[in-house]
Amino acid sequence: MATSRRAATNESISTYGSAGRNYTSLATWEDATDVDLVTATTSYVLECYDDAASFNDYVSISGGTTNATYFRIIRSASGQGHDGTPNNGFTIINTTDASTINMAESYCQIQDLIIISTQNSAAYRNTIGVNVAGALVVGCIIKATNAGAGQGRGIYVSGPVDPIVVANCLAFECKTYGFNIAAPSTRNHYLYNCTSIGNAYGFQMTQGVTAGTVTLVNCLAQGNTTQDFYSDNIVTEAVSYCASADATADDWGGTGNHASHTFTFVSAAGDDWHLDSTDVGAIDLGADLSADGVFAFNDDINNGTMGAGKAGETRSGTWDIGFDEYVASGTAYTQTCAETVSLADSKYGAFSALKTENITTGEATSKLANMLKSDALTLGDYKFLSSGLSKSEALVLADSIRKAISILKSETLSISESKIFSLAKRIVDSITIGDYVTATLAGGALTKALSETMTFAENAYKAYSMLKAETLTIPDSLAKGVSKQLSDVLYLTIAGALGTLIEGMAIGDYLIKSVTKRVSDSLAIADYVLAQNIVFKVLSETLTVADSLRKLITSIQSETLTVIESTGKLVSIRKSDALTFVDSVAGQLVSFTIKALSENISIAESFIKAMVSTKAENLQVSDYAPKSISITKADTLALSENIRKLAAIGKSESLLISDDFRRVCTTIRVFSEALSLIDSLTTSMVGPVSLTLTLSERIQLADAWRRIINLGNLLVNEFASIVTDDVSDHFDVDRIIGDDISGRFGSEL
Amino acid sequence: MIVSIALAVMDKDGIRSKEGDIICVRPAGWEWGTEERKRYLIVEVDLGNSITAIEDARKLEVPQLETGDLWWPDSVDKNGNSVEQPKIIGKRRHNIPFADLDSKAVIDWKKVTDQTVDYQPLEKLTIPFTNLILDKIAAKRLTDTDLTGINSIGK
Repeated sequence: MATSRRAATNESISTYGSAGRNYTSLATWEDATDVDLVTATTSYVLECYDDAASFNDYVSISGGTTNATYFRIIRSASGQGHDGTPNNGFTIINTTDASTINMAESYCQIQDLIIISTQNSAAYRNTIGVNVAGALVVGCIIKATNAGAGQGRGIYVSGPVDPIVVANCLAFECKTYGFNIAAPSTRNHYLYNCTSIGNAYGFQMTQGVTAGTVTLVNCLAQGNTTQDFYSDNIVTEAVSYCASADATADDWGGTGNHASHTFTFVSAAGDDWHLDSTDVGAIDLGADLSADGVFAFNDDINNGTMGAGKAGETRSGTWDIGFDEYVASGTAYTQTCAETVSLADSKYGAFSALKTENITTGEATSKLANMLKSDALTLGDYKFLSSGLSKSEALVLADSIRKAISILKSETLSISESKIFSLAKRIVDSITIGDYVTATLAGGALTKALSETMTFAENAYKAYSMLKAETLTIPDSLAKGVSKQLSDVLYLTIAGALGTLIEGMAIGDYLIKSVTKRVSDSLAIADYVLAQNIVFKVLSETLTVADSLRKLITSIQSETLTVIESTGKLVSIRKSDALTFVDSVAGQLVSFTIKALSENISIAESFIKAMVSTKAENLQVSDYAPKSISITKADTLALSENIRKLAAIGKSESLLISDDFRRVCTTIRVFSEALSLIDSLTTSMVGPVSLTLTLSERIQLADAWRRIINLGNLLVNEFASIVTDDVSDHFDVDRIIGDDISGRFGSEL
Repeated sequence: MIVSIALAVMDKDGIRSKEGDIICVRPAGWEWGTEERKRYLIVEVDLGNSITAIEDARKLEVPQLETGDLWWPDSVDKNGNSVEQPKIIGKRRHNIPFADLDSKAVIDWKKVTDQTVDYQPLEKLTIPFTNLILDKIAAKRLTDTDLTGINSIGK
């Protein structure tokens, strides 16, 4: 035997539902598994979880490479599917203007889903559209609405290939067709054990079809407003073992069809179209398809909650028509009886637990009341002893305690009432179970179950009575305790308040006296403090001023020392620079002077030699002239005159050179004096003894520096002038004649 | 309206999905499944005001139909006769080229294509649809007018 829920080979299962599942969209799973399943030797399965009331989604399954071994399935997960009604289990409600499930890939399957199209479209949309070979729709519950001009169709089978099989499905309240099966060309499609309720058309066959065979077996239709079974007779219909509430089930030939039947369902108003036990319109009127050549199976829409390929209830004997197989009561009776006994035991256990809880609650409440009373008394004692409570405060406290006790009492009673109501409901439930068992069961087991149920109910009632008495006792006891407690508290608080008042007056007198003395003392203290404060303030200000002055002096001293040190450093640097300069200039001057002196001496010597030579020559000429040449006295005088002129010229130039030397010597002397002065000033200024420099000393220092600079400049100019002159230009040897010149020149040096 | 879109991250063979194909459109802030976050690149796109209902936004998931229809055509003809759905020549008609997403964020494309890793560099951004969504059949980017047309199909 085979279940109609076909499993695939090597299934790779993903989950669908709310966030946290593998997929939240059918489209993404479809795309992700759109592969060559045959090459991958894998079948991809999407198992749907009932995580939400419904999921708004749609999908077109297409593109995968499949065969009869490897294909794709969308089905409810284990325990997540429907229970044979649209009321429970995983549900898709699609509002997009498209077929909710478009099965366009060979061998794909949809199993045990509730699918509802809710659209507003001008187009004709399908809840499930199938047009590929080997596709299978099984165990699905379908509904289609369309608020627009278009159609709302349940399951639409139209493929130009075959076979396509739809089995154990329910279509209800579809705007147009519950099932619409159109077989173009010569292909064959099959509807097995389907139920169609409350649509415009139950089963619409052959629309627009030109060839092929439409096969309907074991299908049931009721309440479809146009026709339960409809065909345009274009192709061959093979309708057999079908049943309709109207007269159309047997309009297409075939065997075993039943028109104008009345069907009895479990609860049509509650959308539960399982066959009722009293049904005679469909039960045991179908054909056995367990050995069908196209699609053999032996189960129905459900066996409890569906999912993960779980089989429906097994069809046996003569099959029923429609999606449900009514199962005989024997098995159900045994199960129900056992469940009832178990439930009774469970209820009794729960009742016992409830009783225990109530007693425990009562005891806890009593303890709480005693504790509160004890606390209140302790509080009263404390207040009394400490005398810290006024009469009005004591009354407020008493009121508060009274209110708290009232609330506690009220809550205790409320809890008791709630427990009583709960218990009463459970007893009613138990009696209801007993009634149900009575109505459902038969034979010895019924008697036994009834007896047990009644025993249970009686026990429950006794226990309830006992519990009720105990529960009521608790509030009474509590109320008595509370009254006494309240009385105690009031007595204690009033007595305490009177005592407090008397003592309070005594304390007041004492306080007045004490305060008077304190005022006097305080004034004296205030005066003293005031005086002290003034002294302290002056002292403080003085100290502050002194501190400020000390800081200022320290700062000035620090700054002064810094200035002096800086000045000293500056003077030292300047002095060093000046000495270096003077050394340089003096060195060069001395060097030049020595050189010039040497040259002058050399010149003087040359003059002397020349003059000696000239004298000798003159004497020689004088000596010779009278002897050999007649030289007149006039000639000799003229020669002497010439020599004298020459000597005068030499004398003038020699004096000029001497002036230059004299100026240089003067300069050096003054310069030297200036340096001495600076030395003196610098020593006195940077020394540790004298930290101050008077104005006159500063002027002196400035003058000294100014003179040094001027002298330096003068010295440089003079020196440059001397250096650039050629000494030899001043002394033309050819023009120097005469010993007196030599002597005069020498004296100048 | 703003929508959350799952984009294919790689080219499959034949007429199967290609990189950037719009596989699924959901409302903004959609909490995708664990496998979806690994296998698809999630982007949030502002479709403007032309489309205001998620049912209409999901029409961007339409396949490339041989007939060039913008959306699944009616399953009956004008005479009321059933007609077959057009042949699919491509998994999706609309696509967001990945090259256009490069400028939106720093994206490690190697991680995007690693289907074992939950890597969503764009999910915190909202990208305007203008010059973004490619209509592969019309070979053009969708405009407001195009979205208005898509929105009105079937109404």
